[in-house]
Amino acid sequence: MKHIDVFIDFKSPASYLAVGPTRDFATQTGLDIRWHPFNSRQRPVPRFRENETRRESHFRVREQARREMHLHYAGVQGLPMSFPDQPGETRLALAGLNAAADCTDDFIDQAFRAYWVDHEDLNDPALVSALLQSAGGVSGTPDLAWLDEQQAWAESLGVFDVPMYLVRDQRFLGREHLPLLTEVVSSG
Amino acid sequence: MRAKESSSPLIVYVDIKSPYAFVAIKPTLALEARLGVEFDWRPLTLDIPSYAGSAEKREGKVVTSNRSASAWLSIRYAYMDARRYAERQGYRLLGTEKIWDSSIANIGITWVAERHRSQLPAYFDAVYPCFWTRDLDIEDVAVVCQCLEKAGVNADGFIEYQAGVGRQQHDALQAQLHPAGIYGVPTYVLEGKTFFGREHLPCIRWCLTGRTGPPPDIAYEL
Repeated sequence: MKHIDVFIDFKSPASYLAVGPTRDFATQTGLDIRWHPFNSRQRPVPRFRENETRRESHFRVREQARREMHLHYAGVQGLPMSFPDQPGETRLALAGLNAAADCTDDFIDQAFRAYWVDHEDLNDPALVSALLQSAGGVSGTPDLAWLDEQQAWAESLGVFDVPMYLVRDQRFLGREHLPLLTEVVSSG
Repeated sequence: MRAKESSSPLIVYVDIKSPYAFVAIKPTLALEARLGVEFDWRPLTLDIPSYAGSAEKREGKVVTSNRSASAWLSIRYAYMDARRYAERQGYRLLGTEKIWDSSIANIGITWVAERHRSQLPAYFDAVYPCFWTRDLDIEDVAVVCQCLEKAGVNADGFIEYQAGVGRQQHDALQAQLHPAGIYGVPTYVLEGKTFFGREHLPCIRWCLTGRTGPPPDIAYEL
């Protein structure tokens, strides 16, 4: 095995926090990382309402707790991070992964920083173009048709959230699986 | 009982009917043993239909469901994921065929914790593995009494307890959980901070052993 497929979304806090540990994993195992886009669904923290249903209460408490945990581990990793008021759209930047094939790492780092630190609009053509230029001198418009094909392909593989790791037809959602992934890839 | 207060260094909320709580039991008990302390284990009886819809299966096939396709994707993945870690722990994990009322068995956790704390691991061992091979009717109070006895815990009075004082305490605790920011299992409460999921055990261990070295990231340790 020479590579691992990892699906990410720039607006996913778990994806943002997975990049560093995933690179460490790749270094330890000698694998190449193939980063793939997946347009995930991210929810804002719902506002408290006086007569909220149990379901509404569950989702509000859950999203708030998740956010606090992400911020906690961003601190552990030394990563700057703040949540925008509402999750943004990231289609254009995700499509930019295709154009950034020769400068993927730089583009990924810049796109995540643009979202999680600068709260930029990753669906803004000018912004994405600037990120591509800055990462590797790439010009051109990201191909949304390519992104749609990638999305359909990912979904056919059972990807439904991110970061999702695919190893030997097995899916692993989240960087918490890296110890098991290390064992799986080391077993040959 | 207050949801985030305890004389123990760590509160652990679990539900017998949760596959993720199931695979968290062993590593959490191992941490407890390693530290030589007693954690404060408490029941959180999940109201699954309220957030994940409901479904019933017969002979492995879904016969009724109000779940969306995306909810099914997520649930099927969750069971597959819990299963692979359960198997590493030496357990079998079969998907449940209905959404169980786990409150009686969960009240059993409190019964054991209050009366015979040292037998709590034995109680978990009497309930969890058999439930997850579909060999235990946790809605039958007589069955739960048998589990208590098997764990070396006197079950005299449990039938009345789970219908009376134990039920009241259980329900009063459940009502506190969402307001306290607790929504799922396993949830760990450490120094007033909540951690949902066993992936936080490295961090919890680091905190409880003196915060030596850099704080760890999340991990499902093997």
